[in-house]
Amino acid sequence: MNLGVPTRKVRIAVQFSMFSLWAALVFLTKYPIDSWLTDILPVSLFLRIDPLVMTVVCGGMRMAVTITLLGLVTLGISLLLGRVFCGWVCPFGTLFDFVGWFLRRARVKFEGPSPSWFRLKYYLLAAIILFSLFGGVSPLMGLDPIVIITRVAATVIEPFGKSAHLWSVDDPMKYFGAFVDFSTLLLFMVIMAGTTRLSRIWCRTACPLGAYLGLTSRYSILRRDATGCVHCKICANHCPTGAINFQNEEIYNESECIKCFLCSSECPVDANKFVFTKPTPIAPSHHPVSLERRALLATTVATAVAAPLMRLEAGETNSSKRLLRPPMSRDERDFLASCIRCTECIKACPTGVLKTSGTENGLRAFWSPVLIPTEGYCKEGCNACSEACPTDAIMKYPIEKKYSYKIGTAMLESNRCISYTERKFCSECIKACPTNAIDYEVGWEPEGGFQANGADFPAPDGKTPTRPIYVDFEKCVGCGACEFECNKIVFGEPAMITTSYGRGAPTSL
Amino acid sequence: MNGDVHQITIEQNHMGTTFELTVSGPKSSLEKNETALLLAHEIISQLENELSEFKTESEVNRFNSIKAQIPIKLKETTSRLLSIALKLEKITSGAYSPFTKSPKNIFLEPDRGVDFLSNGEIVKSHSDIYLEFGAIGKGYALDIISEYFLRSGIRNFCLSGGGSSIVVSGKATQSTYWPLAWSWSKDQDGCPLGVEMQYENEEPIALGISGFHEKGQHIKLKRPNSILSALVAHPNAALADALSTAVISSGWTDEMESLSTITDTAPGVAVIEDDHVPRWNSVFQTLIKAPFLISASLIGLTISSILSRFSLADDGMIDLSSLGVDDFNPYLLERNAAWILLPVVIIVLIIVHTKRVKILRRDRNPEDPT
Repeated sequence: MNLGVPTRKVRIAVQFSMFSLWAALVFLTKYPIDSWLTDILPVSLFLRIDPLVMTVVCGGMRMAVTITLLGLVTLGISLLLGRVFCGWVCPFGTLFDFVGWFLRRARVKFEGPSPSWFRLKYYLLAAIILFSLFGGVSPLMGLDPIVIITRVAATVIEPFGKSAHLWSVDDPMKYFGAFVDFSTLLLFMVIMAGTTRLSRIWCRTACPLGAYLGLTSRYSILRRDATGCVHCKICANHCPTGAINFQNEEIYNESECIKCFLCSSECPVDANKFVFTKPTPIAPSHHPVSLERRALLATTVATAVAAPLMRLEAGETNSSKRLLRPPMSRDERDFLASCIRCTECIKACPTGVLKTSGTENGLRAFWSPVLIPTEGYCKEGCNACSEACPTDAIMKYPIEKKYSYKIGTAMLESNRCISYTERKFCSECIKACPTNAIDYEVGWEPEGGFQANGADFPAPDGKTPTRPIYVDFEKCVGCGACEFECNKIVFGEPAMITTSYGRGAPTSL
Repeated sequence: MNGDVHQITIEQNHMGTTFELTVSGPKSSLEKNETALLLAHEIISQLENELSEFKTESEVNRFNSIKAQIPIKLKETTSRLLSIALKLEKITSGAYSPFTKSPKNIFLEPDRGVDFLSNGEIVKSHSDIYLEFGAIGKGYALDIISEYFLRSGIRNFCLSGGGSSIVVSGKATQSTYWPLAWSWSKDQDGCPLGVEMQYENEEPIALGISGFHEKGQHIKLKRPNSILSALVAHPNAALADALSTAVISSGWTDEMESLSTITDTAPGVAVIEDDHVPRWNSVFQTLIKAPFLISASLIGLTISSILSRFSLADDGMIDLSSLGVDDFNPYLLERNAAWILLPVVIIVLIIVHTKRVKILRRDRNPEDPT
């Protein structure tokens, strides 16, 4: 049966629509997540339809993380039709095609056969999957194309949007401490530079999702039929993923074909058709990718060694005490088994308190979101990070229950507090606390009391100012507001330190 | 009504409550369905005559009024129900029991006090032992009606025994499933509060609900626990009915251990604790959710409609906590090791890819990796 090939314009229209939808959803991933589009669709829709996300999260967690099960739809489509997702839906692929359109107009030669190391993506996929078998999501999941492009939007582009006065000399840059995620920026630049040398080089060589869909499309029923080929090599030259054999164009690789139908539209003799046919036995002209057994074995061994080592690797000394996760995050083991490093939560956070972790919390936590109270604080009445999370690593919760469970607990280091060291009336931490968790002793107060600006008023001789005494464990939720305010005043380490102590424990609120 | 589909509902009072039986089907079967419904009520009425402890001529009353050590042979229906009840007593480690005693002997006698003779007769070891099928009677009646309907070729029906024991099968209309809801408290105006659920599978399923917000008189507490309402889903209504009572009596932890001994069809269990915290097991989650996922994929609904439904499903069917309950605990997990199969399948696929190395090496041009 002849399928009848969609024109190039149809595919471009679909790609444009999908990319626009993705961009709109990413743009709307900000507090408050409240628009007609986000009422209909989840902001993390493209991550939720990613079957690799579903596999590693459900496999790693050993449970049905239901919001990821939409990946089954993409998986079903791939099983039937091949890598349609890559050619028609993937926003990263659309970006590559857009760049390719420019390069083609500039007459830059960037098409040709895949490099010999194009199987790398399969080994990366094997490593990611093996990690999930060991019960976790490795930072390698950060190489998933939807995750990368989302992370670029969240950690490279978004900070510029948050810093309104970036270019002003009068107003210092607010999020200077961890402005953009340079590792993501570097990775993105390398990928885009590579794309100018070879079309869709990421899809061909390193995309783990492409490898995943390549595996599942092995038995797809929509296949290319090049009967009548005159061997002009036009199709092979135009194939964006190098799926068509350059020596014999009748042979192509089903696992690499993204069903863009460019070969059909470019063929001068209409010899490239796509037909529905029986998937088995696989015809010689439909050879799937073959993997080197030794390389696969080496990948398995390396992962088997790395998985426990990464668990043992706990990062810098005392880093776990300062490792704060977003509110309602699963416990640390489950969090690392479900966080895919997409940084949607960071994109959604209105205060900029969420940042990506480097290696300071251990290699295993690389690219995962952490709460840095010196950069901001967890806003009262906001659950945007939870709504944005595509895997429930940050669990969904009703906003009125925000303070039911703790992020951590703040500790007072009185030897750094200016109300102790300099006997100044400050009390900024007491004013900032949304749950009145900081107990204080009443002493001297300037005119205006608590409304007075902090740190400007030393107490008269022989008197002590009103000052914090301790933090009530059952009331403190670990939002970091006290540390954020303290950090503005105290030179050096703030006196209020938010720790991960008590994470996940219920509060008395 | 939807197109050529009609629904008929006939309500009648039996067993101290209202049985609401509804059948859906094509208009051509209207007469047949109506007759079936009337017959079903008649069957329940006959059952009540056998099982009621308040009717002097009932089988249960005949057993209850007999003296110790005098053999008695019960009718087949009652005998069958008794054997089901005894199995349930074993499964629930006594949390559910069909036997009761008068208050004066409650501390003096053991719970069980009957012996089964080889000729099918039974004898009471003590006169003060009484049969009481309150916890499973309605469910048993619904099982019988369900069997009767299926035998008669009626596949689309919703049977309710007082609202706390329900059996649904097939669809309400051509395009919608039977609406289900679970309520465990009321608001200030007396309107029920709870959740709506979706069971999107056409196979018959029974829901048994017990709770202290209802009368709760059939619940024999072994010890206090914190469960306000329990819902059990199982193909067998009598079992669902009894297990919901047992979960209330024994508590979540004990009862989940007991239920693990049921090897044929595991029941789906969900509970609301006193502080309105919901808990449910993976079977319940599967029953209510997974069939929708699979069927939606298979029948090829348009992607847009699936996406919009899923986007709303987040805080809908599974996350009971966000549907109006007063308290909230996000740290409840139901793991199932079977999910490891997902990555395992992919690993197998990768290994399959290694099997063609030799063929490809022979065919392949070394300069061309494809």
